[in-house]
Amino acid sequence: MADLVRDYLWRYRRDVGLGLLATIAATLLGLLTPYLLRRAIDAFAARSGAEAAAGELAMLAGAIMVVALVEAVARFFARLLVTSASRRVEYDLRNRYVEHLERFEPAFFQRHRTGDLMARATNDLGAVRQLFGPALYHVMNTVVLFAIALTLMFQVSPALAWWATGVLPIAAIVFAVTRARIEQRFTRVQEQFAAMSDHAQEVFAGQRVVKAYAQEARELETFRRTSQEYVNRQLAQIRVTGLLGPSMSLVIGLLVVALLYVGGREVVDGRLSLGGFVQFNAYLAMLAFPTTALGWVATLWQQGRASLVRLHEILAEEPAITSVVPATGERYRGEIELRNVTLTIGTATLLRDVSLHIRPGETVALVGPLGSGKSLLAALIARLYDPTEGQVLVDGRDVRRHSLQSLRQNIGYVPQETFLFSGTVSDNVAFGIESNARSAERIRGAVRLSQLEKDLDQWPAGLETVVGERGVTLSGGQKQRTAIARALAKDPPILVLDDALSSVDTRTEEAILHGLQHFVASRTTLVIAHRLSSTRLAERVYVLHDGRIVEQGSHAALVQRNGFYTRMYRRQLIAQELDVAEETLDDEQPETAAGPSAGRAGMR
Amino acid sequence: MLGKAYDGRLVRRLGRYVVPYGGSVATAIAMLVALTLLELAGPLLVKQAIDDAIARADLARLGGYAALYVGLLLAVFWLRYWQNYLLNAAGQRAMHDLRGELFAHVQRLSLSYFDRNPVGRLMTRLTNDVDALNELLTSGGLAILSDSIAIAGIAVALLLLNWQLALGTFLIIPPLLVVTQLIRQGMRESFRAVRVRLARVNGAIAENISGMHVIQLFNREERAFEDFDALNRDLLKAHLTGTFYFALFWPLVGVAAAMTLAGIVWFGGNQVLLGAMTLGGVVAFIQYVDRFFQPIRDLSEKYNIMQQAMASSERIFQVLDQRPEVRDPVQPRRLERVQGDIELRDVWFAYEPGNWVLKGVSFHIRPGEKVAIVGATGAGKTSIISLVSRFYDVQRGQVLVDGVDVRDLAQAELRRHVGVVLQDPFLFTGTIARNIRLNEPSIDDAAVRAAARHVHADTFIEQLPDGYNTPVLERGAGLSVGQKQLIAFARAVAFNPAMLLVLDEATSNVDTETEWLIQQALATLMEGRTSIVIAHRLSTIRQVDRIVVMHKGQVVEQGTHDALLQREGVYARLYELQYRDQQVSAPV
Ligand SMILES: Nc1ncnc2c1ncn2[C@@H]1O[C@H](COP(=O)(O)OP(=O)(O)OP(=O)(O)O)[C@@H](O)[C@H]1O
Ligand SMILES: Nc1ncnc2c1ncn2[C@@H]1O[C@H](COP(=O)(O)OP(=O)(O)OP(=O)(O)O)[C@@H](O)[C@H]1O
Ligand SMILES: [Mg+2]
Repeated sequence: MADLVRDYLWRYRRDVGLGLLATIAATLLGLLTPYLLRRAIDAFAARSGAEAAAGELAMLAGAIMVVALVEAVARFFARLLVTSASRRVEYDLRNRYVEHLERFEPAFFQRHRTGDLMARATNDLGAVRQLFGPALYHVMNTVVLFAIALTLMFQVSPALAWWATGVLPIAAIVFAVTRARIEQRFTRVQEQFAAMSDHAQEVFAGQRVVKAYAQEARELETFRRTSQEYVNRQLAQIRVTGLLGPSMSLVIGLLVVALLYVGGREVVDGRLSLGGFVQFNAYLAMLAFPTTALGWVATLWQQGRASLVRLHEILAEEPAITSVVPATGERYRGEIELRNVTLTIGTATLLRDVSLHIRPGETVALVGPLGSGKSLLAALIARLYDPTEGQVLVDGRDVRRHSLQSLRQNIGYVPQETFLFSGTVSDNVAFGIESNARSAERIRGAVRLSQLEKDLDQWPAGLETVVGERGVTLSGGQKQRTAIARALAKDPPILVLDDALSSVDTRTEEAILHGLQHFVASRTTLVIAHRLSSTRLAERVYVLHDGRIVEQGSHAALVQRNGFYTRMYRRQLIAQELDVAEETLDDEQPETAAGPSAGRAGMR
Repeated sequence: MLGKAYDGRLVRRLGRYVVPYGGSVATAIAMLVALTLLELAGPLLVKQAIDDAIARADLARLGGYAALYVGLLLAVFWLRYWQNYLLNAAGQRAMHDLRGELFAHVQRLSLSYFDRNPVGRLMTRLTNDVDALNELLTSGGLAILSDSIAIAGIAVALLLLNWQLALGTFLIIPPLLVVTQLIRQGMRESFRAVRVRLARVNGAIAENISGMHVIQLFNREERAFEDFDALNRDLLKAHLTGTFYFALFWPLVGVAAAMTLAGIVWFGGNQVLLGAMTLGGVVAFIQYVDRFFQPIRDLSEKYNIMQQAMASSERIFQVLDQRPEVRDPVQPRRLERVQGDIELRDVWFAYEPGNWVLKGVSFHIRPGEKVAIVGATGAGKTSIISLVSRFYDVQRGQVLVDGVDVRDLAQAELRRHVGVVLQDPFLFTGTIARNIRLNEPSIDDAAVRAAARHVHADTFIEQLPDGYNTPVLERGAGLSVGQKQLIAFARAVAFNPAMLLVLDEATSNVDTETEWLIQQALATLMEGRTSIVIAHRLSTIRQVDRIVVMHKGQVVEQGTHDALLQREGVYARLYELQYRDQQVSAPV
C-alpha cells in the first residue's frame, strides 16, 4: 500500500486527497436525508395545527433538496477526482513502460515475446487501472462508511458496537487466506492470456504461410486449445474470487444474528430500549452493502497487485547495453577495429577471437557461408550486442565508452531483414534525420541513390504512399531499397550494408552500386554480401567461417589464395559459363570443371 | 433508461452465443430469484423476532429465530456462490465459442484484408473486445434484468398505494430521461473516441516492439516516444471526458430521487394533514420511492459496461460480417490426377482499383515444364505467384490450373498442390522440426530430416545443441537469415506438393556454396514437376526450360535462354550486365 502511494499516487495526492474529503462529505450528507425524513414523519404525526405543520413540511422538503444537491456535487467530485487520477496513473505507467522498453537491446526482445509484452501493456495495465480507480474509490467509501456507522453504534450501545467491530478481523482473515491463492490464480490467467495472444498474433502475422500450406484448421485447433485452457484458468480463479462476496455477506449476516441474540437479551434484561435496538439494527444495515462490495473490491485489489508485479518484472529489468557518457554530436572519422572479439550467446560461441581493422574511408567486404556470424559481427559495431571478450573500437575508442546516441548517429545501417514502419515511404526514408534537418532535397537524394526513384511512378501517391504494416504493400526489392535510402539519408560517416542488395535485380543492383561508388569513397563502409558483384566495391575482403576470420586481403590476392574466396569466385564464374554453354552440371567437382578464363571465353 | 446503449439487434445476436449454455443461465436466474426472496425474508425474520420473542422476553424463541436466520444465511451463501459461478462459467464458455468463431473467420479472410488491417487491431478484437462482452453477461446482463424487474414491481406497488401520488412521482421520469439522454450522447462519443485511440496506442506499442532495433539504430527513441506520448495523451483526454460523464450520472439520479422525496414530503404531508392519506401510507410510499431509485442508480453504474460491450460487439460483428474477398465456390471442382498445367489468360490485376500491377499477362506452362520469371524489382513477379496460389483474385482474365479456373477450386485443395516458398521466410515459435512440418501430422521425423537434407539445411541443424528440436524464437530470431531461408525451403520440400513448386527468391540470402548445392537438389526436385522460379541472379535459374521476362506488369519476352540471347532484348542486356560484373572484378 505504501509503495503504491509513493510510486504512483503521490503525484496526484491533491486530487486523491480532495476526492477523499468529498467522499467523507458526501457520506455524511447521505446520513442527513433519513434524519430529515424522520423529522417530516414526526411532523405529520404531531398534526398540531395544520398551518405550522405545512410550513415545516415545506421547509423540510427544501432541506432535503439542498442536502441532496450538495451531496450530488460532492459525490460528483469524489468520483471525478479519483477516477481521473487513476486514468493519469494509467497514462504515466504506459508511458513509463514504453520508455523503458526503448532502452533494451535485441537480446531482451528475444527473451520476451511480443504478445507477452503486449499483454502486459494492455491487460495488466487495465487491472492496475482498476486498482487505482474503482478499487481505491470503493475502499475510501467503505472506510468512511465503516467509521461513521461504528461511531454511531458506539453512541447507542458500546457493548453491541464491540460485537460489530468483530467484522473487521474476520474480513481481514478472509482476505489474508484467499489473497495468495487469488494472486496466484490470477497470474496464471494472465499468463495464459499472453500465451493465447502470442499464438493468435503469430498466426495472423504469418497468415501468408498458414494459407500457403492450408494450415488454417490446425491453427484453429491449437487456438481452441489455448482458449480452452484460458477458460479453465479463469474458472479456477472464479472458484476462489467467487467466495469473497458471499462470505462477506455471510459475515455481516452472522453479525445481525449475533446482535439479534445478544441485543435481544439486553432488551429483555432491560439494559437497552427497544427503540435503541431497532436503531442499532438500522446502522448495521448501513454496513451490509459496503461489506459485500468489499469482496469485489478485494478481488480488484489483489488482481491489480498481481498485475503490478507482472509489470514490475519488466520495469525492474535493466538493459545490458547502456551509455555511460553523454552524447557529443561529433562527426566520426570512421575507423573501426575489432580486437580479439569473442561473442557467446547462451552456450553457443558464435564469434571466436575475431580481429579486423577498417581504416577511415576504407570499404571492406565481409563474406562467408550462411550462419558464419557476419550479421552478428556487424551488429557489434552498432552495439546491438556487446562482445563477451575482446573489444570493439570505433575511432580508436571502445564502443562501450561511446554514447550510444553518438555512435549510432554516425552509422548508417541497412539490416539484412527489412523492417519498415507503417507510415509513408518518405517518413521511412527520413526516419534517421533529425526533424529540423529534414528536407525534401535530402529525401530525394537518398531516393535517387537507392534507385527507388524509378518506382515512384508506380505508386499513386509517390513518396507519400503508405507502406502498410512492416511494408507489406511494397515488393521485396522496393522494401529493401527503402531501407537503403533510409540509411543513406542520414549521410553517415560509417555505412553498414548487411546483404542489402539480396532482393533487387541485377540491373538495379548495378545502378545502386554505381551510385554508391561516389558515396562510399569518402566513408567507411562494411559490405556483407554473398555475391561478388557487391564485394566489387571493396578494397579489402574478410572471409568469415564458423565465427572465425579465415582469410583476408584484396580481391586479387584472395582469388589467388585458393581458399574459400577462390571457390566462391570460381563458382560464380562457372555458373555464367555453364549458362551459356547449356551444359549439364557436374556436381562432383564443379570447381575444376572450368576456370575463370573459360568463363569469360564462354561469354564471348 | 437504457436507450441506444441497448441495441436489440446486437443483443439478440450475442444471445445466440449464450443459448448453448441456456441451462446454466436459467438455473442461475432461478437461483437469483430464490436469493432475492430469501434476502427479503431477512428483515421480516428480524421483525418477527422482535415482535414475537424480544418484546415477549422469550429467550428460547429468540434462540429459535437466530438458528433459523443462520440457516437462511447459509442458504444465501450457497446460492450466491453457485449463481455467480454458473453465470461466469456460461459466460466464459460462450466467449470461448465466440473467440473460436472469430479466429476461424479471420483466417478465412483473404490476404488483402491482412494488408489493410494491422495485426494489433485484429488482436484487440479477439482479446479485449471479447472480454468486454463477457463482462456484459457476467456482471451486467442479469443485473440489468433483475433491476428492470425491480423497477416495474415497485412502480406497480406505488400505483396501488396511491395512484395520484404515484403518477406525480413518475413526473420526474421524463426530465430524468432527457438529462440522461444528453449524458449518454456524451458518453457514447467518448467511448467511441476511447476505442479508436486505444487501438492506435496498442498498435503503436506493438510496432515499436517489433521494430525496436531499427528505432535504436536510427536514434529514434526520443521521437518515437514523443509520438507515442501524443497518442497516449489523446487517449487520456478521451478517458477524462468519459470520466466526466460517468461521474455525473450517479449524482444526477440521486438529485432526481431527492426531488421526488421532497415532493412527496410536501404533497403527501399535506394530504395527511388533510386526512386523505394515513401516516403509515406515506411512510411506506417514501420507502418504496427510495427503493425505486436504487435500481435506477445501479443501472447508471452498469451503463459503462453496457456501452463498452455494445461498442465491442459492434466491432466484433464488423469483422464477422466481413466477407472474404477470395471465396471458395459453392460447389468446388476437384483436381483429379493433377497434371500441373498452369495458364494465365490475359490477366489484369490491381491491389488497389485502378493501379494496375499486371496488365494483360498471358503465358502457359505445360505439365512438367520449368519456367523462370525474371524482371526488374516491382515488375509484378511475386504478384503472379500470389495469383497462382489464389491469395488474391484477378480483376480480368483467368488463372487456370489443369484447365480449371482457380476460382472454381477450393483454396485448400489448390494450395495442397502448389508448394510455395515465399520471398520473406516466416518462422513460427516452436522447434525447427515444427517449422518444417508445421502442424502436419503426416510428415514424420524421417520426412523432416529428409527434407532438410535435400536443401542442405541438415549440416547446420545437426550442429545445433538440440538438433531438430532446437527452439526457434519469434519470427526466427536467433537464426541467421540464410538459415531461415533454408528452413522455409525445407518446409516446401517436406510438403511434397504433387506437381507445382513455386520458388520466390528462395536463395537470395544464401552463400554461393550452399546455393550451388541447392541447385543440384532442386534439379532432382523439379524433375517431372511443373515449376516456377523467380530469381534475380540469372545464375540460379540455369535448369529451366523457358524464361519469362516481365517489365512493368507485362510480359515482354519469353523463350529459352539461347533464344532470348539471340533476340538481344531485355534479357540479353540483363545477362551481359551480370557477366560484366564478373569480368570487372576478375583478376588478370
Ligand atoms: N540472437 C542469437 N542468439 C543465438 N544465436 C544466434 C543469434 N543470432 C544469430 N545466432 C546464430 O549465430 C550464427 C551466426 O548468425 P549470423 O546471423 O551472424 O549469420 P550470417 O553470417 O549473417 O548468416 P547469413 O549469411 O545467413 O545471414 C548462426 O548460427 C545463428 O544461428
Ligand atoms: N499487398 C500489396 N498491396 C498493394 N500493392 C502491392 C502489394 N504487393 C505489391 N504491391 C505493388 O505491386 C507492384 C508489384 O509488386 P511485386 O511484389 O509483384 O513485384 P516483384 O516483381 O515481385 O518485385 P521484387 O523483385 O522487388 O520482389 C509493386 O509496385 C508493389 O508496390
Ligand atoms: Mg546475416
